[in-house]
Amino acid sequence: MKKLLSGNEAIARGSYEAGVRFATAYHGTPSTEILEELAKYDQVCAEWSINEKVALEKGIGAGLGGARSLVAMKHVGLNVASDPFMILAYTGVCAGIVIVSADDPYMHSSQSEQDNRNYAKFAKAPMLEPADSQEAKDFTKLAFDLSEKFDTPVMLRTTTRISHSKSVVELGERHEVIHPPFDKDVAKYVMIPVFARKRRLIMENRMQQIAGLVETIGCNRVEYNNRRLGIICSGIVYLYVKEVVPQASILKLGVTYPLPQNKIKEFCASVDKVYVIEELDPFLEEQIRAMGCSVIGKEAIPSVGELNPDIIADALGIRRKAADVSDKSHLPARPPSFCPGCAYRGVFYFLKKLKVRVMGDIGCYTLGALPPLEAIDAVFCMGASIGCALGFEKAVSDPDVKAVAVIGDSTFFHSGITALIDVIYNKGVGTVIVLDNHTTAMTGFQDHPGTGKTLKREGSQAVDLVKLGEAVGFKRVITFDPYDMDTVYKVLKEEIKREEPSLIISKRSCLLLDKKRKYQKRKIDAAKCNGCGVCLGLGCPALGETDNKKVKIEPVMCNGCPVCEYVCRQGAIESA
Amino acid sequence: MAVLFVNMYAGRGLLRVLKKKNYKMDTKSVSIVGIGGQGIIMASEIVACALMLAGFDVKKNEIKGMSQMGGSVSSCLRFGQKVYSPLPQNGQTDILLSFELIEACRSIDCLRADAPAIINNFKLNPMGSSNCELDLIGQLRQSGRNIILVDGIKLALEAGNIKAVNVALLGVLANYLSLEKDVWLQAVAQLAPKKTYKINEKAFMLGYQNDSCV
Repeated sequence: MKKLLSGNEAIARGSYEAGVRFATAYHGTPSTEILEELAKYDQVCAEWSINEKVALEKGIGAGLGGARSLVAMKHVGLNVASDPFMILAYTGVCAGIVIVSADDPYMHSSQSEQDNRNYAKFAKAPMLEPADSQEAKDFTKLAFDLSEKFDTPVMLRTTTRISHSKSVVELGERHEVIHPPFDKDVAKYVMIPVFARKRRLIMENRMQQIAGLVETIGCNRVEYNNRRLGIICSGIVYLYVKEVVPQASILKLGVTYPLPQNKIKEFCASVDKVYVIEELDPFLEEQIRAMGCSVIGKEAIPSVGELNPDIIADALGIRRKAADVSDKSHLPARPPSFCPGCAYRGVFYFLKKLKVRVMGDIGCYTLGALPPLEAIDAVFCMGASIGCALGFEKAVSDPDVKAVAVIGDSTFFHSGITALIDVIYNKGVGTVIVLDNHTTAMTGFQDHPGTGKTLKREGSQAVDLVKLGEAVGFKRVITFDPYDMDTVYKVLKEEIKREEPSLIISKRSCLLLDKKRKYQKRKIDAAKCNGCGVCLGLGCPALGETDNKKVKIEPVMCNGCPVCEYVCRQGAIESA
Repeated sequence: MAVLFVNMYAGRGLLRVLKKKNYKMDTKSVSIVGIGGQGIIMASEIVACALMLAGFDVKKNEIKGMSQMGGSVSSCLRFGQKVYSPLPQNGQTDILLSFELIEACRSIDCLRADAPAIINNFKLNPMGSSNCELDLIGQLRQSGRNIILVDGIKLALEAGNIKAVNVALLGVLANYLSLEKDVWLQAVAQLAPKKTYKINEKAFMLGYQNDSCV
């Protein structure tokens, strides 16, 4: 049967067909849908993990227990999981383990465009790169076979365009793979120096064996056409190349670590001129140059951002009819913004008013850095807000210059808890604000340890943030409803001033999830509105200016929160 | 309505004949644009499904993530006997379907010269910004493309639910892709929620038979 699947859906399907019994992830664009798809299969134990490190550790454990395991993450997630990943390459696996790294060139929804192919080389683990959904499914199955054959974790690397593009896939049957739990073997599974030194040699030997295999493996394929132009490529770039220069000879690499040295040398010798076309880093190019091959790479191909057929055509000097393009800068843009009625808006409004430095974190609320709210001053990575605020506090001697940490609930569980404990341990006096909307809104409403629901929608014990704060030593743990504007302002003002650590939990469900929510839309009393624009400073999409410089509230957009009514000094906003 | 650019490939039967004769059909590209929340992704799912049911190879791509409600959304479909890239080259798109006028202006250059652009005659100012008073329709016509304005909201309301705008617009698009009507309705049935099928079917037919383009 044929079906139109996204790359992520195809990886899920491939895992299912490969007999995967355990799969886990921490959600992150563009990887999220892999686990959401796998959760639909009864035969697969599919779970959201608290973060990527724990996810991979569970995957390792499941592998030791005899289950083929898939662990998925976005590129930056592998930074978090890199510790167990590096060691897993030493120990090897029992049942097969495949790690999916979904990279995001151009940073469509990420804070960096790091090229995770480097991780395969860094850890010394083989890596496969599919080009479309059929390959995503086939390569997932192949990855499990390689993992077990060579006793190694295998990395499956996609990019946003592969994960989110859909193409036609031929579905297959599931093959159950049952391994017994691992045999006790401390020299293999206990990585203390004396054993690790031996495993280190085994790793080298293993990579040599795989380097031999990749010379003949079917997914490293040469397509000879016109011998004047040869192109070495992998992943989505192969599809762009086929589109732009179908007449070229192509070496299409399915395994991009380790590389088939003889095959590459032979290809380079058989064509007049060789381009290595790859997105981001010169990962293939540097290795191919080190083989002594003369190729054209990053001097012609950008190493920043995504590639596309046009960029490749330009780089190869292919003349095309110029596209009929006109200037579009006069058109108003539609930048992302907080939804109308978002519970975060009021909190950021007050933080700006209180003139504190705000260390933000990763989630919808990162938008609090953008105009007109502009309340967030720094955002690094998942969970960084709390540690950054604590460090800032230690460095600044002026008691009037304060920093607060602002972090969402899912991000707090992911990697905020450890820093929260550090605040108490190191006698911090700052304020930590957890924006608890009972979901991971940014990536599409995934559950997490605070929601009391698992990926398979089963009930679970929800972590109580108040008790958690108290247990680690916070004497001041305050919960408020962010719609209660007077309380929000009062609490923030007092707690930021106080020379004592405080944990504030701003608790209200994301309004996109809260279907039973009752609310009263707001409207403007035009007679009272003097056009001062204070409400427009909230950046609410439902608010706009009329032709006579007064404010109007778009009734279709308004989700009935009290924030604009609260900030209006003229009393011109009321319930509709 | 003119420019039936793939009418010669209507349906599965003809495609088989083409394959037999070893006739190479070029890959065609359709772009669907609009604003988050308008049902663009669902619409492009239906088109992709219909094309697949008609026997074509299909690839489809969209960027999702930070553009939640209210952001610009675009989806690109490519189909033919064998499709490679999910992205077309600049100015090589064969047909544009836009759910909104500003987004239509933003995307019009993706089209080949004089290619058709089916555009919902509806403008939504970007959230929080002042009224966009540009002559959008004038600019679109100036682009030299074949501009087909449709009152999608009217069609959807006539079908019984304003949310059916996307399927009504697909009905109009169907005239330019020349797949058999049943293939489209089969795709709508497969992908749209079951309880909305009647309304969606009606919306599709209203769009399909619509010749009162503005």
